[in-house]
Amino acid sequence: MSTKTKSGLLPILLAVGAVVAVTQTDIAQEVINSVDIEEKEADEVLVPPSFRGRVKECTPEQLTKDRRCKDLPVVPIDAEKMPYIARHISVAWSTGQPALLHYEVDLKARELKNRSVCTPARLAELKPKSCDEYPFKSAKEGGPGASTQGVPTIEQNRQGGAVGRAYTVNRLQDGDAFLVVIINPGQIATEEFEG
Amino acid sequence: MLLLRQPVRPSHGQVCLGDYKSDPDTWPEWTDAEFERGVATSPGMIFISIDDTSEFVIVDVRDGTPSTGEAVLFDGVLDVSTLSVTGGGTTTAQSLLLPDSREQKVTITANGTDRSNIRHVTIHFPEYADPDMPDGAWMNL
Repeated sequence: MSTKTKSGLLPILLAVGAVVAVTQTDIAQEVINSVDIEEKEADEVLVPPSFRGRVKECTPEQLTKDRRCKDLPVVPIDAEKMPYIARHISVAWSTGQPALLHYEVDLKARELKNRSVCTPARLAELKPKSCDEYPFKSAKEGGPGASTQGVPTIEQNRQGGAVGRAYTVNRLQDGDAFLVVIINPGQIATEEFEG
Repeated sequence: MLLLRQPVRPSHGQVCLGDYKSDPDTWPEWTDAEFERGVATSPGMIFISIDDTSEFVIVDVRDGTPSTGEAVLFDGVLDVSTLSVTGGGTTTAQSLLLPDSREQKVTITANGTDRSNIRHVTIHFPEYADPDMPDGAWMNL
């Protein structure tokens, strides 16, 4: 696991502009101060600012347990269990990738999306890391243009369970919207996974 | 006897075998120990970790017991009535409705235990073995 540094995460989180939660490091306090949010509020969930209002009434525990906030299905990514995937997603958000995605039910379409970004060449380049793609291939927004990054295989495994659970609990149908949120953002890795 | 052969593209680094009607909150979380073993289990679902590959993993469902020498990934009980064989990160798909809806003995074998090279997984249901229809060479698919 990489060491947290002051230089790695700040630009990302500021760009996301965010409901941030990073309380255990100096950088966390800097972020909290810079975006002028209370520490308690900041200690919970990370979403892009335009979606903060959609989840502000739901606690991280509710988001994790119910996998929804009111009528909005949610895919919670726990940075404590998936620090590098959470990093990848937050970086992707900062570059304009969406947090609100739409469910792709067609397995063939998913496969085409996956193959267009996690190509055999990309897999070979990242090996032994796992090719993580965001937006997910199980979203309409996935595929060409998606961000890819190498992550630990165990995180990829955990993400598969987290995503599958959220889809199943919410009984998502093709095209249904869901919001990706990061729980425990204080645990987001501050550097890319080196393998 | 071969009951089903399902090619699967691993997704999120895994192949998932089990019943999607089981409680998702009980599904495996992939602890460090489970990851070390390469298999994560819950009462109704079994996840097998497989390194990224653009190849299919062939999943067979058979009655009877595995041959000696096969690499055993799991040997225990699975609470399953509708067996789904999928990659990770999805809802149910590719289902096989089993005659029994209960906990039943299951043995899962693979062509090896190295997650970088698992390409053939077999789920054995020993209780479905039919002595009147034993496997012969003609069934040796």
